[in-house]
Amino acid sequence: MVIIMSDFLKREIRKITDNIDSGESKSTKVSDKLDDNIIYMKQQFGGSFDILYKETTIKNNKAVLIMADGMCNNLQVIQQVVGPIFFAPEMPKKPQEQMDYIRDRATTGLDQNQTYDLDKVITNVLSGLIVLLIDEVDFALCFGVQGFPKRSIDDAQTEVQEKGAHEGFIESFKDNVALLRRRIRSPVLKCEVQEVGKTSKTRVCVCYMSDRASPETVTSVKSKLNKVLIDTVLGTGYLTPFLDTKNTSIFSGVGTTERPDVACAEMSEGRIVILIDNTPFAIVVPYLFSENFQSMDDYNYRPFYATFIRVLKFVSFLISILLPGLYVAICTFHQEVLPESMLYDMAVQESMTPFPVMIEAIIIHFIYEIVREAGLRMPKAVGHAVSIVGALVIGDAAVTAGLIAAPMLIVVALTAISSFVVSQLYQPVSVLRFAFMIIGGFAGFYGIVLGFGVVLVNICAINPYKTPYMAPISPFSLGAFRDLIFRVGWKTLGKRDLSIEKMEK
Amino acid sequence: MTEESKISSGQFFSTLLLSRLLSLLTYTPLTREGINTSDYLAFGAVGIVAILISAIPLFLLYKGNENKCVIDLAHDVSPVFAKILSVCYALLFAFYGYTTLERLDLFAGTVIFPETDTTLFTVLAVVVTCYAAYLGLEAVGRAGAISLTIFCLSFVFILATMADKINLNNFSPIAYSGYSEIFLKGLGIATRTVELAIMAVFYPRVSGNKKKGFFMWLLAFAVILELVFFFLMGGLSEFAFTRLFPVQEIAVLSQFSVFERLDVILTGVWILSAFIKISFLLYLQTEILKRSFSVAGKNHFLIISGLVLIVAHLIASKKAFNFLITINVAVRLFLYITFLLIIPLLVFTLKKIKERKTQ
Repeated sequence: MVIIMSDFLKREIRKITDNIDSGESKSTKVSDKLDDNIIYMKQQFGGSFDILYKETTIKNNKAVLIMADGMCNNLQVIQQVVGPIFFAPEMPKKPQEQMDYIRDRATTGLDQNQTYDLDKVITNVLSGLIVLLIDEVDFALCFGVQGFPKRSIDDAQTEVQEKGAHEGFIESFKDNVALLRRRIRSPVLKCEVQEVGKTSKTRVCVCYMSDRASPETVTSVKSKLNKVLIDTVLGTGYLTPFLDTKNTSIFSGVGTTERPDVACAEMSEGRIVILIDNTPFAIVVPYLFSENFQSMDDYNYRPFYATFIRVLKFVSFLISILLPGLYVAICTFHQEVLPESMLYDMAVQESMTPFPVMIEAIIIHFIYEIVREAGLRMPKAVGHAVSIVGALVIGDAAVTAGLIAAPMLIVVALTAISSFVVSQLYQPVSVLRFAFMIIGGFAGFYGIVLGFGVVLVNICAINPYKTPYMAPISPFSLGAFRDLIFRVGWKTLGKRDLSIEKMEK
Repeated sequence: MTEESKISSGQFFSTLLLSRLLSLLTYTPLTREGINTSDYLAFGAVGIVAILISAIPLFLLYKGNENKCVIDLAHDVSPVFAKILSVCYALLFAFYGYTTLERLDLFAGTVIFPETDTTLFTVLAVVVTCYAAYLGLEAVGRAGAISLTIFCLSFVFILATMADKINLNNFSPIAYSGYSEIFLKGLGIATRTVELAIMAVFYPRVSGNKKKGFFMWLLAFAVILELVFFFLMGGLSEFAFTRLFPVQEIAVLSQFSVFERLDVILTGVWILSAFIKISFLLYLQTEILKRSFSVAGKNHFLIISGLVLIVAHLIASKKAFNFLITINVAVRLFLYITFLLIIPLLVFTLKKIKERKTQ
């Protein structure tokens, strides 16, 4: 049955792939007859009201300017394109010469290109460029005058930082590149653009530092992006599975960041950052397990405090995964582990609830996840109300009514808070927590340890871009270990030991 | 065993040390041991020397042949001989995997769940170890190195928290009852060292300084062995011989603040180490068979090995025969001599004879 399903899926994927491949191979040349070009463009755009066609004449030659309304800056259109073309004092009379004159002497903008492909013309129009076509000329001139509405650069919402820069990436692709350039003013920072998504033609920018990123990794990333077989790309999650090297693991060797300073730090350690147009998050590859416990603040704090914070994060991670499972295992099988005084209190509390401890733990954690999800998706004003309902009504009332025990509520609260300390790992943590609760309820401490072993081996099996996900813990790298649990001072850390190439392959 | 991915010397010997420490942890005195407490420290040292001596045939075999394992070298002599050897080594690792599983089952049935049928737990252990073995050498090796760190930290913590229970009066004069028992017990430690057989088939796949790794492994084992014996005899004296798992009793004695049951830490470490050891042994046996019989997918052998473990457990578990076969000194001694002395020396001799004939 599994084999049949697998074959069926493979066939379907192949069909989609073939369709995409066959679609990409066609291209339409710019005709030297202007009317044919306009007809083709109108056929492609259909009745889209926002595509503007300004048909005119330049020294008696028929011409057309095409742009997408709302995607261009009107002032730039007039100052950089329309004005210079129509008020050029020495405009030649022949169409071909006119085009050369406009391209080389008349227009002032630096961002312009010439194309012979009508499909590329369409992409340019949709990307906010204004396109000029003249009758009897077999190419188009495209001028970069983009001016679409965008959010201003703001605080990073998901990676809050106490000290240091507050800027986060925004949806505008070019602004994000500029945020990186502002931090690394060196020609070694390379930003190479590719298009992904058959219909969306989303621009992605592969950024890396050429003197430290592995050329094989750069090539591999670009190749993987070229092979992306989806129609639209609207966020980082669309590309992550294609960049990940082991999709069967619950953890991922592909990370994301919302902060340009973090992206620069990653690049300076030899990693590759991928910016996606219209997404305020950048993808980082290869991403290691230990990076989930690091933040920019660690490097702004003094080393002793940064080390303390790191220890706190590792402990929080373990608590958020194991505590509910251990609580269930201890209450169900290993009560003798608890100190006497604690044992009596907990036994009394648990004996008053109607559910077995495992069921009680699963229910209360499930309710917590519902409340969290509701608080996250609701408008902010309502979100507070949801939190109050969750915390006071469900929590307090459930204990008072004797539906759940107070120690269980403490476990839930501690687990929930701990899971936010290492927020990057929230997804695997929240699922693993349930797995450990179930296994703790059925196989006690024995099952918990075996489960821990499975997770450990699973993490160790991840090798994003031939770099062990668990480096520098295992394989051990002393140089990089100085920035793992202990964060040594900058005088020592400033060397290039943290580089990804130093990790044992 | 020369074409696949390699494992670093550090990871390999960490996994071997973890495996050997598990054997130490699960040590069970069958009868009244018959030697005095201080002699444990002495026979530990003898055991280390015996392990060192037993490794000589291996190093002799690999001198100038670092890229070939014992089976590859046997293949140079005769392909049929190599196939027979690979089956023998696979069976050896299967046996040690089974032994480890049975000790885990015994531990689960007596310490963790004294009133529960542990069959389901043992089957669960086999399933997860098969999964770990499926993930491959690098995964198990890396996890082994991390588990060893957890093991050492836990052990140091336990020893530190029971240090006040040490009574130096528990130590009798060394060799009070003569030297013969010390030597015999020392050899007994060596026969429990299956790790040398793993080295025999895995040596070429280890990168880095292997000799340094081996000596570090032996040194670390010697230090931990002596520490454990010191704490065991100093804390429990002859009472240790009355317990099923004496090393576990060290943890029972330890106490930290209001927490009086720190043995739960050692229990966790035990299960984790057994998980890594069985996974590693399963991986080894499937790799040997896969290579020797040129089968593309290792999953067939892995599934078969896992099923064999489960079936063997269901048939033989908790029977006197099982106890005899997994604990018996004669069985251990036979396997040890065969796989660590006879086979390496036989391969070495046959290879030399063949080389001379070709010259």
